[in-house]
Amino acid sequence: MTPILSAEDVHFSFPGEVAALRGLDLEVAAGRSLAILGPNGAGKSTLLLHLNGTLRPGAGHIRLDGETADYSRKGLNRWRQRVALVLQDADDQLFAATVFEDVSFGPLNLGLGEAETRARVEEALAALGIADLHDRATHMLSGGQKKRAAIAGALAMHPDVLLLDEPTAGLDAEGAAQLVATLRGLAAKGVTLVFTTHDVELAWTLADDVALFRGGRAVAASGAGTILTDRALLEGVGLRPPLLLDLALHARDRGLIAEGAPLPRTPDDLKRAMAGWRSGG
Amino acid sequence: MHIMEGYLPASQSLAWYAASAPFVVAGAVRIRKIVRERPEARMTLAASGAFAFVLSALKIPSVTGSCSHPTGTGLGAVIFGPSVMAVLGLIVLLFQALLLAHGGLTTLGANTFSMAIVGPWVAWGIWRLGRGAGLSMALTVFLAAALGDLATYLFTSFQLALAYPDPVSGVAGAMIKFGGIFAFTQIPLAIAEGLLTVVVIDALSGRVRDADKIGVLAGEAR
Amino acid sequence: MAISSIDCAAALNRWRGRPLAEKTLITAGFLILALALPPWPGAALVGAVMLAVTFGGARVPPRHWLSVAVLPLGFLATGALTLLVQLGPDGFALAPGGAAAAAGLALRSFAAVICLLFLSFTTPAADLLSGLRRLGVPSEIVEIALLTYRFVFLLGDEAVAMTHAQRARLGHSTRRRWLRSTAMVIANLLPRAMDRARRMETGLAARGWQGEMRVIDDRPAASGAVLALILVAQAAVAALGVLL
Repeated sequence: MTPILSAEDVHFSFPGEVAALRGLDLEVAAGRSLAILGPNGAGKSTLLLHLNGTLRPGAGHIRLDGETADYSRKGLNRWRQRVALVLQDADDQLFAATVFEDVSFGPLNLGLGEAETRARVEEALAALGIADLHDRATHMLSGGQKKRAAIAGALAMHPDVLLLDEPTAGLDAEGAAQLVATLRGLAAKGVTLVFTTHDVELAWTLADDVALFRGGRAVAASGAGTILTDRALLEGVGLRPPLLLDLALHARDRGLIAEGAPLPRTPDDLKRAMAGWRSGG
Repeated sequence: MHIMEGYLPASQSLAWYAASAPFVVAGAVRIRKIVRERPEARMTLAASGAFAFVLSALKIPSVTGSCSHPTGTGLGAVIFGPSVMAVLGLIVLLFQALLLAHGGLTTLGANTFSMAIVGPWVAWGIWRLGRGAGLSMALTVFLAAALGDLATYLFTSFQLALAYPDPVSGVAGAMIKFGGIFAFTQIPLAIAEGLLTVVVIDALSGRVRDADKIGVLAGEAR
Repeated sequence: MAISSIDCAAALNRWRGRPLAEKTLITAGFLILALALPPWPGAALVGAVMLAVTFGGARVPPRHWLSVAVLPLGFLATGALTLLVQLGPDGFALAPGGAAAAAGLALRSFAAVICLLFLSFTTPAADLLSGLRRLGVPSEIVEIALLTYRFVFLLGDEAVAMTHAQRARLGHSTRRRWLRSTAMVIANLLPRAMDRARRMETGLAARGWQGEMRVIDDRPAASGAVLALILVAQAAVAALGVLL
């Protein structure tokens, strides 16, 4: 199947700085959730800005549905309607006075009428669980609320792909947990997710596939279960396997989880599995 | 120096609105042109306005030991030019009235004239003169910022004197009274702001990349 | 919310949801009356009515209101002082009628400040700006003002954080150091402000921004009856102020 988005041998450097991307290859499969995992400075955020056309490769290509990206004004508009981006700092995209107004911005830019826009805004706010923040001033929201409002602003455009830069960065534990649950819900509805992170736990909880970044290139890309269990590969980029996965593998080695059964993705999954161990003896 | 809400009689409040209007309209026309050519200049101009607002909320020690607030008038005029400053100044003054109760709505016209028009034009004029005459950068910046503040303060005193002329010596006498009573805070402020602006410009031009940005900014605003 | 506690109050008060036109008509009408009517009893009457509206109607917290009102009163005290004296050829002397003039000025200004604070405490600045758009102010200017409002809080927080960090390292311990530290905050803040502007541009472009900033304004419309009622009240105050 053609990947919905792909990067082919992409090179890019910011003026006056060392290269941020050096020959990057990557494929984003439709309907799946992809974690871009790597240390700071690996080029993760720079890649995201390429995937919605904000930055243009110095060399190489970005493809949308297998076709070379169109950087004309019209092409970019179509592109950004299908591929939405949520920046790391929500304050960089919330500009309007209230949450409702801010979320209405994207749909109006698509040329939708007021009634359709209203419906989309309400739907997006409900999907993020922030319908009660409708009339709140954007500058008076908490960090987690701002992040949700920013994601709602992207979702209201009904994108096929949602790009998220460090989605849980700066959130407290509860805010992060709520957000992860919401994102899992979106993924279950078929939205393609691409998110950057250096948190292996988040990658394991949320991603179907993982691309491991280092020095502006993807050094490995495969299913989450493959990459995140490869201790040597992870240590090569200064990371370790997720604790949850480590425990689950340990349990499988001891016969507590059957070979071939799905491994627990969340602490709750593991707890449910453990309940079975007790009753089963 | 902000004239407070309700301080000026109705006729003069209106007159100062009328006097400011042509400058503000000219600035607005200029801004619309800039924004039409470069939509993203909205963000730059807004960030500059917010910057000026935040400056006015910072306390600085002044020479007599009292605290005062920088106005950013000189800095803004040097970087953005005086015509754009009339609009940015008006926006900042509106927020100061609404968010901090500095100044007021009926006196917005008068305050705009003294702080967003007279101050920036004087500062900008001195900046151009000083650079033309080959004065050192630091001295020119100091004079532009300090005299811009002084001009604002003297003009505000004049506005107050016009509204409340002395029963015996008229407007001139009233100006001495108002000028004298506010001199205690305003002259040290002008000196402090002059010094401050020198250090700021110095620190800004010390960074090549940022200095580039300022240049770009100044170019797009003028 | 270091930069403005008024803004917070405006977003949370009881009349936040009332139509903008009502609140601006109340403010503008009474402001005009405060300036136009004779200070006694006109401005006094305006002040009394507006205090009742502020505390009785909108339920603005009095303690908070007072802490804000103190600042303009300082200016008023200094300014009114100059009316008490006159400057003649022989120097300063007490001005005949100076006390009455100063009292009149104080009354008028104070009434006007009460009107301004009513608006500040009940109406977020963003609501007012969206109203300006409807009055025909060019949308570019309103958008810049709205973005300024957004950036004010972001930059304000950054400036406060930088100042705290400096104070923690004794950056304000002498006057000279203080001046230099403040200059450093300002010099750091300007490039940061520009960076913010650039990042906001990326964020908006990602949502299909093409140069126009349209959002749906969801604020309630005013009813003619309420506006008429306000005008009647203002006419009554005007009549009382002139006749009494």
